[in-house]
Amino acid sequence: MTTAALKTRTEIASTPPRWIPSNPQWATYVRAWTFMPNPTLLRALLNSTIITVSHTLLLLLACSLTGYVLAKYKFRGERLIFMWIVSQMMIPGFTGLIPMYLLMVWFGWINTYWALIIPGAFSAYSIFLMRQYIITIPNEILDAARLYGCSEFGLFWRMILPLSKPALSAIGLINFVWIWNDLLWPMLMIKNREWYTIQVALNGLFELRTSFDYMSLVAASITIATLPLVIFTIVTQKYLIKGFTGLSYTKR
Amino acid sequence: MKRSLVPYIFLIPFFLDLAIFSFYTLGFGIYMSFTDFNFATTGPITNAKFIGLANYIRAITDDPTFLNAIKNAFVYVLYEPVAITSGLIMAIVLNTAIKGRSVFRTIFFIPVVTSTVAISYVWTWLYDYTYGPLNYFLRTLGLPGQYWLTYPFDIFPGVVLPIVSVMIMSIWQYFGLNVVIFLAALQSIPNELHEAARMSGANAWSSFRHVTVPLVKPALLFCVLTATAGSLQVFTEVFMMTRGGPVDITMVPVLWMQTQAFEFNRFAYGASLAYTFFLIILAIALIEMRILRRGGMVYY
Repeated sequence: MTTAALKTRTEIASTPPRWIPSNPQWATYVRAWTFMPNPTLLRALLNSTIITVSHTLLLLLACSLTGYVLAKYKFRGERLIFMWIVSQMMIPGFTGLIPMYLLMVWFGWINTYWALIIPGAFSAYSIFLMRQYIITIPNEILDAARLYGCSEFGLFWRMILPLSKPALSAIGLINFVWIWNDLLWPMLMIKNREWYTIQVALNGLFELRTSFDYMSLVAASITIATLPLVIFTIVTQKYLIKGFTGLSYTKR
Repeated sequence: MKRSLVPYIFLIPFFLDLAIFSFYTLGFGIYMSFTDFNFATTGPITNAKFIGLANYIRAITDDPTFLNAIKNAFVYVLYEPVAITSGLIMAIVLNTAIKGRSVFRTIFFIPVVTSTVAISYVWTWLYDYTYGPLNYFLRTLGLPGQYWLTYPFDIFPGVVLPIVSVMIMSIWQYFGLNVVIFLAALQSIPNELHEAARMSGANAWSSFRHVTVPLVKPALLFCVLTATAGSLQVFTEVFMMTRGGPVDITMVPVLWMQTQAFEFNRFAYGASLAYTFFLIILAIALIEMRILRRGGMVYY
């Protein structure tokens, strides 16, 4: 079935279905780059990249810091916060959709990248995973570092982060994929066509998907759009899969 | 551990985020759902009037599309068992000593991370009545082609064909996710356990039942929970395939919420829809937890 989808996606001649086009028009792939008026395919990919990378980095920073605190410090309210985070994982995302949108309006963040980067930086799931991982880092190392005069923040920055690379990679990758593929949130937040992410831009081709004249261009566009992520997946699959399995199979 | 302010200081960003993006939006959302805030009619929120439970009552009694949407969401959830079971079977198959296991794993996993938008386009073409390969295939077998995405009548009570078509696409897409998760679980079972079982006289089937199954249960739980959560909130699949279906028959809750709030500007009503659906989900989740606890499957 995978191959079926791939073949259909590379359908270049717009005729009744044949598995292998008899007269492949490779020029379609070239035209696909410029056929979308605004944003162009390239621009949309660029938008997506900027947003996704920024959001992922911010998320990693935020969640690792929070996870670290929950993992290594005892303080009043720790239990409560942890319970809250676990319960946040159960609350579906759509409940906050509308109020969040209004909040973005008031912040003036609608139509800017901020609305896509900042909210959601503290993902409960990611915080949870970071905490679970950081707990396994032996305290002795941290105490030793303290004896050597390491500051508390230095502990985090210089010891925990490097030691958490597996967790960071897994969480970073899974969030990267999730944000890249997200349609609803960017669609609502960005009104200006130039700033569309790749998913929203592809959605703009919705009416064209069944029109004979443009079907092949749409097919070429989505193939080009999907390619980066496919390559990304193949390259990073080991850590990516770790993230999807919730880091739960690293220890047994 | 020093008793100091350090943890609190490090948590400041988290608290900020919590205060602004969680608590405030929640509180404001709930308050708003009790008003008649509608961008088109009442202008800025300060003009909105407090109308109590009117939105909620309307959602339950006067909004057939919403009720249909909830029904569709629960129907959609049913794609899970198929995806999970087939994933498990494939994982078991792959767990035996097959060459190229990694390759298969990657191939199956690619649709999982491919954008649903792109996949929806592909499946729309697959499902096309006149030109789609699916109908082409059926016709060569002598069977009639189907209106996969537009057939407006129930094929089971309460289930329309378009939703099933979308479900089939989701099964295809997320099959690989289950394969990967179960494979990881299966591979983490040390062989010694199986050997010990063999030495105690278990055959292949017993070994499976008593060694494999209990150790795979956490993965199963994980898959079921994440899939359920995700499928009740389904949006992109339906939006990209049918936009809610011919005459709203494939409407799903998040899509309807989004339509009400952003196309009709009824923000307050949309919020009340969100919370109503959330309460329904919560109720069902609690019931589910209770049932699972009796069956000994819950760990927390």
